[in-house]
Amino acid sequence: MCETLEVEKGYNPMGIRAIGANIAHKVASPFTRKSTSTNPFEHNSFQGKVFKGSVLTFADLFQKNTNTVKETSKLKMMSASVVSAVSNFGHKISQPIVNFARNVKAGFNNTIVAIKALPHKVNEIGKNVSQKISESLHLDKIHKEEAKDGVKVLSMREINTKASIADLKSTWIEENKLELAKKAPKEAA
Amino acid sequence: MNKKIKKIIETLGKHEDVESIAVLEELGTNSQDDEIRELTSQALVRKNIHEALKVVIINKGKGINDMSPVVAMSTINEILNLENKSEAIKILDDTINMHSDEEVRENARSVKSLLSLS
Repeated sequence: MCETLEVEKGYNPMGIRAIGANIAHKVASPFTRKSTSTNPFEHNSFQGKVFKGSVLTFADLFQKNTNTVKETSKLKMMSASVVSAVSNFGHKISQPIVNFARNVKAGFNNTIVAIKALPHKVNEIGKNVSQKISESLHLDKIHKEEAKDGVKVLSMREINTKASIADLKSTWIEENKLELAKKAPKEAA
Repeated sequence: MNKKIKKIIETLGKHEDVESIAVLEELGTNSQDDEIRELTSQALVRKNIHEALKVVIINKGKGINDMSPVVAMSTINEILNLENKSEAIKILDDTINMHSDEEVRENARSVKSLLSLS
């Protein structure tokens, strides 16, 4: 009797533990998660329509991606190191330039002071240089050659309205002679 | 053309000394080089004084009477460009009325007619 009753009512001889286990198989627990996602909007429904997290535009904010966090932290570290390196580099470079500019400025000022202090010496140096240049180019001899025979041949710089008519005329005549001398070999050839 | 000679001609053209006209006539208008004659005639006209204009208007073979049409035309052009043409017109009138050479008189007449038209 007892056995039939147990069979009819579905009694399980294994006891309440077995019942609990069966119920756990048949009824889904409201506390069990369908997925491991941390996104609370991943599985939503409205009026029978089911939305997944990807549908909602803001849903991705809640998705936890450990790789991205790691990469971001790495990038931050790298950028920080690069910025510090660049700032140090700029500082190291700028200092010698500043020092160089200061040295140049100081040297220039010293030179000006020295020149102002010694004007006569500078003039003497200039005269000596011009004399040496004229000596090396034999300019003195050229002037002497021009003055020979009483005929003055003017240079291009000397040909102006301040020059005498006689000098201009003699220069023109000399230039005509030179032109004829240039043309003669061509005509002979 | 020789740059030095070109500068001498320009300088003599601007020179205040009247002797510069004689030098320009002697060395410039008698030159074999057309370019030198052309520049010399222009320099003489720019002086715009009786002695200088006379050289290029009444002398046969010089200025407006030059054998080279380029020299003659450039001289005429320079006369036409003068601001004060009174001295040039006076010399042209004298040449038309009194010059012995018919060709020179004819040239002077042509230049004067051009001046009246300009």
